[in-house]
Amino acid sequence: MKDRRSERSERIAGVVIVVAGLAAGAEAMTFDVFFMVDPIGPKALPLLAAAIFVLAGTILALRPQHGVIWPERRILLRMAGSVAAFLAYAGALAPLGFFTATTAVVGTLSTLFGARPRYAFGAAAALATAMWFGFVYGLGLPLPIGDLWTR
Amino acid sequence: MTCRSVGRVLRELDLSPGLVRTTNMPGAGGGVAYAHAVTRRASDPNVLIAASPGTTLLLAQNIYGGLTEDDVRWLGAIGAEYGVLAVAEDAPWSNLGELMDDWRADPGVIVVSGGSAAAGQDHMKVLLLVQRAGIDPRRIRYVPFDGGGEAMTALLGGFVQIFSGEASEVEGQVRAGRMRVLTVLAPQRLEGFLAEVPTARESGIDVDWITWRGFFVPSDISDERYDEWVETLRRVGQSPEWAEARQRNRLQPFFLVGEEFDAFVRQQVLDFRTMAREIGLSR
Amino acid sequence: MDALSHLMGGFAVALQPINLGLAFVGVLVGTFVGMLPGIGPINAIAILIPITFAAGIPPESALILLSGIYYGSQYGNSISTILLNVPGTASAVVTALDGHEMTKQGRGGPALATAAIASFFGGTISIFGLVLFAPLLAQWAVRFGPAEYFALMIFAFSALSSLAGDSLLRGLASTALGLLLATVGLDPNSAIPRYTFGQLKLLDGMDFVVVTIGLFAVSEVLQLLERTGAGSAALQGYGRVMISAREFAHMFWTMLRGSVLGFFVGVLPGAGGTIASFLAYSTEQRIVDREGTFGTGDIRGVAAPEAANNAAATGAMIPLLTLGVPGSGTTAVLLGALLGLGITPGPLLITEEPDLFWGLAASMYVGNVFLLLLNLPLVGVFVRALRLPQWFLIPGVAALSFVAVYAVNQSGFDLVLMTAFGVLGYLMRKLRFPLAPVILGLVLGPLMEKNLRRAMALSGGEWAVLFDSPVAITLWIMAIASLTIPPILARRGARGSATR
Repeated sequence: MKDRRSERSERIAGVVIVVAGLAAGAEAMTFDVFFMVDPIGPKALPLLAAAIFVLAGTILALRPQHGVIWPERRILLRMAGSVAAFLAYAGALAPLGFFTATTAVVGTLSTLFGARPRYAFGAAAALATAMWFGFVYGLGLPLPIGDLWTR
Repeated sequence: MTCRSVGRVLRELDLSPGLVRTTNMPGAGGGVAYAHAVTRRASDPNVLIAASPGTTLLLAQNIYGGLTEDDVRWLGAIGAEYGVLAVAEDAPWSNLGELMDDWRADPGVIVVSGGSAAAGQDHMKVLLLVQRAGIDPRRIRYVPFDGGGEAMTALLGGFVQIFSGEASEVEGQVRAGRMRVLTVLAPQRLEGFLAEVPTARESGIDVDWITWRGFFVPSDISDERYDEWVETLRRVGQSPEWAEARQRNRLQPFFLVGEEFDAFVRQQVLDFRTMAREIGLSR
Repeated sequence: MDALSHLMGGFAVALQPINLGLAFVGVLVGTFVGMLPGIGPINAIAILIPITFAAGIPPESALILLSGIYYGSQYGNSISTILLNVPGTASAVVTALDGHEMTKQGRGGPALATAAIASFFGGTISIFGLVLFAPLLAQWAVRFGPAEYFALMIFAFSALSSLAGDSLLRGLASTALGLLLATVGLDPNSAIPRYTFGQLKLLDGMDFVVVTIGLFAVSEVLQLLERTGAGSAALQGYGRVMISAREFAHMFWTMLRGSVLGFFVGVLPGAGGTIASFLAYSTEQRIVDREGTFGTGDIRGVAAPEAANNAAATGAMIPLLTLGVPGSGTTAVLLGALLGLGITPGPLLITEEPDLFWGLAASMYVGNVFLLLLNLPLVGVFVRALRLPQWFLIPGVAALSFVAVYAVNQSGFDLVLMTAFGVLGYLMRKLRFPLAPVILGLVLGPLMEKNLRRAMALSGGEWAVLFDSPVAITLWIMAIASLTIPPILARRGARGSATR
């Protein structure tokens, strides 16, 4: 299992963690206050966490333990597709409204899980409708109607 | 809570043409709602946003990313709570004057607890009080807790000497005889269980802490629309329906609308800003 | 015994037909609302409060309804946690460790039954605790100061070694991530923003729901996509639904210890179910896990946190009603409801309003009975939901999670954050970083930091204050013991046998 490629991703992860730790530590050093109600201050905990990052990252980079097996390209693309759908949903919720955006994202995700598009989007529309009524009327949770339609 | 109650009263009084939609927009102590009102709804004539001294405090600290009190129009407040200072039942002080004498003599031995963050409401009211009494606010020791309940617990456990909070928070402990209120920071004595407690003004310290519950509207609406809003709020504030809702929410009467309220808020932000600079909080 | 007769009076209140009905409705509504990942009972309670005002039902009946929702939602939450690995509360994160493993092995039914039984057990034990010690505990809780809380947090952090799985180093890194996320926002002690990068939306900090839904639910979707793509089935069907008498005996002492521990932690103002379930899980792992089966679908790994969590919820009624300190967002809403009903929390509440206090205590118990009666038969139905086609079930759960995240701040920004945490969670799973310690750091980090800083502010910088009381010293000794003894035992055990 321990082929070179997978160990390399562990080393990369180690380096990323070290860099993140250093960045977090550097940012923490800027938490300067002229006024403080306690002797510890706002820096201590972030610096502790940053130090753990640097330590753990260094050990991981120098001594990879398990190795990682990444999925093949075809599956990675599918996963990237779902991430893109989530991000699009975040952006589309306000302008397109809950119903349209949810139908689109759920339908897309169902398709990625292997459903036929006709079924996927049909079920998604039904689900979005049910959720709209459940949340807005049942729980009093306001969901966006969609700026595009209300203007 | 205030928002929903006002929304309901608006509906009951038939003052609203359509559906009143209350959207809860938490985040940054109202900062997100503030930014939303300034940037995305700047000219929306139909939006009303709730505020409190928490809003003006954060404005004074310049935490709203460069937004100021001038970026919205202040409409009015229709209810309030008042600040109190309380001590444990066995504390050595029987009134505010005695406490102030000891405090002045050695500010380092007295620790105050409160339910808000440093420079938040419970801290600020103490700072204003001691400053008016001639004590250096920089020497006041304040420890923040998560809410008034925890801050009172610290007082009852003997970890701090003073609790800074609001009248409604102390009711249970005062009734049980485990805490005493030394002063209320109100222009006149309160209704209810604190009616016997003198105000700070009565003790010769000229300071109030009014935790008002009010509203602002976006800045770009027309003057006519602003006046309409003022009128609406006036009718809500003076209705019996609101009086009932106000009592249920444990708010004291407080009523200030229109230009007077606008001036009041600006003065408050100015006071807070001066104090924040004085204790070295803002640069 | 005075308290006992009061409790009997309480049962007389709780067993009135209208109150029985309200408790049933509350538990039922709560279970279904709680199943929605990350939504929590707050919305349902916030909606029902004005209705109870308007309906003019007596305060104790209103509270019975609301606390029924609270209880039901806690159980409902463990359903989605165990079956789908989308924990909605921090304490459910602990339940997920073994609960979801059991589901993967086709033992989702017994896991759900265990959760229901352990919750009932925790509720029963803690109600005895309430009767015996309520007035005493109210006094004790007040003496628990910042230094004691800090020692308790250190003790709670020792749970890390149980959550970390096979690599303590990775567990530490995960915890550190949680700690860093916890510091995001306005620092209450110095009023400066930390790691907000000028974003107003970060000023209040990282919301728990956004982080957990991202790390757990979204990364689960990604992982399922990977597995489906590789052609292997995701979730097993279902087998047996109930647990056997042997399994019950197996977890009996675990539930008992978890309940007692949970109750006492719950009594501490502001501590609550999260710390209780983390501590119960790690304590049990140290005491009974000789074969190293915790984390691989051990029934006791579900029983311990569920019993502790439920017992803590009962214990938390003491600080809520006598000090006005809510232990969680939901109890904060309950507190608001109390105030609105004209009830003032305070030490006198138990004596002045015995009907209310003991009626509530009794109805919490009745609520627990309903939960058991309602949910044991329903376990099979819930488990069967896993047989829905995956292309429908998983996107549906994802959509529900999105609403939960959106509802936190009504903002799309949180959905972006959630997606980022989802990708991060997937990478962490691939690199074998455990996820539960992130939540440990995120939830306990602020409590640890705040209490240390409070203690030091009170002492004026004198470190000795941390070891100044018998309670604090005891907690320190327990923390040190729990960190040092298991490795020594493990080494000795490893020398004896060659397994693991």
